[in-house]
Parts: sequence; structure tokens; C-alpha cells
Amino acid sequence: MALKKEELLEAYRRMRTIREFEENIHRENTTGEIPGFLHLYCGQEANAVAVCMQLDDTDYIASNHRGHGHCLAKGADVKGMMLELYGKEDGLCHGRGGSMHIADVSRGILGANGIVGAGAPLATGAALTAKTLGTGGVAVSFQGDGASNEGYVFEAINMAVMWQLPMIFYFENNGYGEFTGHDYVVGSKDIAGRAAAFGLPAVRVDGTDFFEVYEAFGEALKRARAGKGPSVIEAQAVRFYGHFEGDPQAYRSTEELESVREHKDCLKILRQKLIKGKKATTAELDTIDQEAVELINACREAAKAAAFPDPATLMNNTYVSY
Amino acid sequence: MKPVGVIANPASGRDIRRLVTSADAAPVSDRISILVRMVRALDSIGVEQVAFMPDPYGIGGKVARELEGQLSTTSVETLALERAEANFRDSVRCARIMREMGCALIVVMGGDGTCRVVSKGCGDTPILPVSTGTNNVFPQFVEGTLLGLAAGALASGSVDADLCCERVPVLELHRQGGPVEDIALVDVAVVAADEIGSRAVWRADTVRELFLTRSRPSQIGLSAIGGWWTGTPAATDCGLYLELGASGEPVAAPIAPGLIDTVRIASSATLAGGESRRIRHDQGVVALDGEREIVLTGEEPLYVRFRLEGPRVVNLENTLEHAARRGLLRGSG
Repeated sequence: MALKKEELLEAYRRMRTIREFEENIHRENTTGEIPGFLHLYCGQEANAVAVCMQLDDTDYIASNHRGHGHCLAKGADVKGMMLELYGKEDGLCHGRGGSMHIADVSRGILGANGIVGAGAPLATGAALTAKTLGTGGVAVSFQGDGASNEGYVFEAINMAVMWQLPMIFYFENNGYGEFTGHDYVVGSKDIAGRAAAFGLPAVRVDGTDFFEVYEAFGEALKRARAGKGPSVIEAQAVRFYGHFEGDPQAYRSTEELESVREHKDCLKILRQKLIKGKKATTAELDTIDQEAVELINACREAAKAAAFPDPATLMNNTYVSY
Repeated sequence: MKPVGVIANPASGRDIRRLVTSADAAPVSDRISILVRMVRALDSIGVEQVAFMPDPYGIGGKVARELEGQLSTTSVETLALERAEANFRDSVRCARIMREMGCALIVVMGGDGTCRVVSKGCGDTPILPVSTGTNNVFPQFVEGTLLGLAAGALASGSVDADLCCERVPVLELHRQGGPVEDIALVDVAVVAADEIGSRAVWRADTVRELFLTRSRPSQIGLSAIGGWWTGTPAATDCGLYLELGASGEPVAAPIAPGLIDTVRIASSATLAGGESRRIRHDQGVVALDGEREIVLTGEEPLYVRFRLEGPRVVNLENTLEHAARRGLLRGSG
């Protein structure tokens, strides 16, 4: 795992861009200009970026309701994403998808998904396509600890094992399925251990550590590309905000919320490691921080100024043929 | 009757070696079953208190619920740990608490890494290491019932702890003239890497230097390199230093489950008790008991000291034999 300096700076830039994108939405949501429900990815950026920066456009990802980070990390246009969230015609899906149905098939982004766990079978289908057509591509499904209890996720894992598909099931265990603690609803509390029973390698990683995720996912990717079949990764992640924007999080203590931001912020952790390891300077990272703020501010203003779809085109672009 | 402490690491056995080698792992539910059987045996001897480390999986609570209404003397409790972090620091803190509670021993369920961190806090309280995976040197696979009988024999005072426990050597990391910064029970490896990353070391070609407390061909992991290099068990009162390189005599060893890899030994030396040796490389990462822990920054050099006075470890077989000779189970039932 020898990443070049420009790759490390790019990783930091993508994580920082996602954070700024989400923090911006958090602020702007209260203005009433963003329609629909929003589920923010703040705190989990290391996962999307460490995974997606190792993929290319022949690889597929299927995301979940908390999908902005996955899409941005996989290369979705930032301005197109912002316009989509504002429901504008020039958004990535012409304003029809919004937060939970945002997609860009040209980039291998099969879409965010409002149905818990639904990405796993969709990505399994994409993996079967890649194997059948011999594209060399790999499919990755992102889902949370809540989805780890869904029956069709089990079916997808079983199929991927049976057909030895180039597929990686990436579970972001942020401790809460919507408003319920993972420790209350996940029977074995051990997502990786339970998945291993399907007959595939399953590992657990610290989802706040970019380097740990990068290395583990890289090995799973090598296996998949080499035709050795699927893998499961359970990342222990943290969620800074509520399940959705507006969730008062009465089920979490103030101390917990403060503690995760203080001690488990993947962006802070990466920044400290880059500086301590002399791989980047504070000034270089500050510049990236500033550029991310400017980019997101510009995207926000563009989104606010952009036109809504013409009501006469309501039915256009509603169904997509893959 | 002294209490028995239990530190069961629910997270062990889930590392990257499941992807890159053929390593397996016991699910948490299997660990709970082993511990249930252990507590049944402790109860049969009359042990009054078993104290578990708290963990996010609630292992202690699950064991207690499983045995609710079935135990005669044993109370199964989970320690209340202020500001538990669900990481290795909890294990160190709980080991200290169990030592202060006067536990007869601490049952440690996990891998080499779990044993290492418990050893940082247990002081002279003996540990009984139990393996949960396939990649361990320090802990051994033990049937839970036998585990409980051995622990109960010690807790009840039926056997002499001094006869049943042995001190094992330890490797201590320190700066010149400085205090101990960390320890390893089996191996210290200097590996060519930039980052701690996923922690595990599984590529033999990245290992540059190796310090070993033990080197036996019957082991798996980095210490097996020493075992297959020397061909004989090292004397218990000396350690082994190996320098690996691009040239030198090749030797293959099982460095992970299903993975036999070849390295070249550029030089070797035995380590006498108390001997300190400087880590030659100033770049790379230092792995302790198979897990990358310290990034070398090229600043103040690190030293590794081989010391004979490490933690006290329960010898399960000796303990059971002593207990049988003392008639622990005779006349019971």
C-alpha cells in the first residue's frame, strides 16, 4: 500500500469535498429550498473514498439512502449533484431523482436507493453482468448495519458466493439503523462473522481510518478481479448527524455526539496522519480545505439560480433504460 | 475463593488475513458457548464471582442470561467501566481492575494481540490465554469445560499458582535509556510499509528485521520463520534476532494459515535475557505480535529488549494434573 503523494492529496480532497457538500446541505436544508428527505454522510467519508478511488468507470456501485458520499467519491459531477438535490433541470438526473435516487450510470453509479438493503441484489446483478460479459468490472454495494438484517441481502450474498461473482458487499456499520442501536437489532452483533457463514471471506475494518479501509478493500478488489469471488467488509463507522435531516437524535447522548466528532472524525484522522508522516503540509491541506469551500459555495449558488424542469416535461426522464 | 476475570475480545479474528490467506475465525456466538461451558465448570467447583470485561457485544451479559437460574454458587457480572471505548484500552483498564480486585487469574479470549494488551495491565495476576482464531502463537485452543476446571482450581486455591504458572519472556520497546513504550509477547517485526493500515503482516517479503521470544516449527506466523530457520525449539532463556534481506540463505515458513512463504536470512543472533538491540531501520513500521503499531519516522532510534520476566501464564495441563492429584473432583457429585 504505497500511495503517492498526489493520490493521498486527492483522497483528502475527495473526503473534504464530501464533508463540505454535506455540511452545506445541513445548513441550507433549513431554508426550505431543498425538496425531499436528506440523509447525510458526514463522518463516514473515509469509506466511500478509500473504496471508490480504487474503482474505475467499468466498476459499479449501488448505494443506499445515505448515498451522496458514495456518488461523489465515485466521480459524480459535484455541481450536477448539487443541482439534483435542489431539483433542478440541469441536475444529474434532471431533477427527477433528488437525494435518494441520484445516479450516473456512465460512471458506474447505479444509484442511491431509498429501500434499505436494495443495493445488494442490484449490485449482484451488475456483478453477474460483468462476469458474463467478461468486462473485468467489479460491483460494490454499500449498505448499513440495518440492511445487514434484510433477507434479500442474505440472498444476494448467497448468489454471489454460488456464482463466484466479482462483488464486494461493503457494510458501513455506523451503530444505528435509522433510530435504533445496532446492538439492539443485529442478533449476533457481528456482521462480518455472520456473513462468513455464507462461505466467503469477511473482515472488519476501522471505518474511520482511510488507510485501513484502503488496504482491506484493495485486497478484496484484487480477489474479485482475479475471479476469486465475493468478499464482505464490515466497516465500523460513525454518523455525525441524525438518520435524516431533522432527526433530533434523542436516542444519542450529547457526550457521544461530541466524542465521535472529537475522536472519530476520519477527516481529522487522515489529516493528522498525513502531516505526522510528512506526506503533506498543513498549508497544502489548508489550501484543499479552502478550495472545497469555494467549490461547494459556487455549486450552491449555481443550484439556487438554476431553472426547475418545465412542468410540461414531468414524465420525461422518469424511467431509465439501463 | 478468589474471583475469576474474563477479557473476551469480540473483535479478534476479523482482520484482513481472512481476505489474503485462508484464516478462519470463530463467530462471537461460539465464543459465548465456550464461556458458558467455562462458567458451568467454575460453578461446579464453587467459584463465587466471575467478572467480565464489558464490550459492545455484551458477551458477559449473554453468558449470564444463558445460565440464569442454573448456577449454584457462581455470580456472573460485567464490570462497570466508565467511558468504555470498545477498543484495546478497555482491555488494559479491565486487566488492571481485575488485578486490583484480587482475581486469581484472567482468562483472555482472543489472539496474540489481545494477550499483549492484557499483559500491559495484569501485573502479576496470571493469564490463561484462549485462542479464537487460527493465526495465534500465544493462546491455545481449549475446550471451555477444561478451561473452567483449570481456572476454578486456581481460584479455589486447590493448586499452588506458583507451580501451575510460568513466567514467559517479553520483548520491550524503548528509546536509549528511556522507559518501556510498548511490549510484544511473541515477535517484533520491522516491515517495509508506509502506514499501519489494516495492521496485520502477511507478506514475508516486507519483513526486514525480526525479534522473537520463541521460535518453534510448530508455530504459525512470523515466529515460525525462526522455528524453521533454527530447526529446533529455542532455549527458553534466550530470544532470537533475524535480519531478512534480498540475499542470504532462503527459508520457507508458515507465516499465516494456508500461506507458506520464503524469506532470506541475512544474519541472525541469539538474544540473552536483558539484552537490548537497536532496530537498524529508521523507516518502515514496527509490528508487535503480528500487528503494525508504530510508524518509524527516522527520528530517535528504537530499541528492543528481550526480558525473561514477562507475564505469568497458566499452564493448563499442569494445573489440571495438579488439581487431579489434589483430588479436586474426587468425592464430588
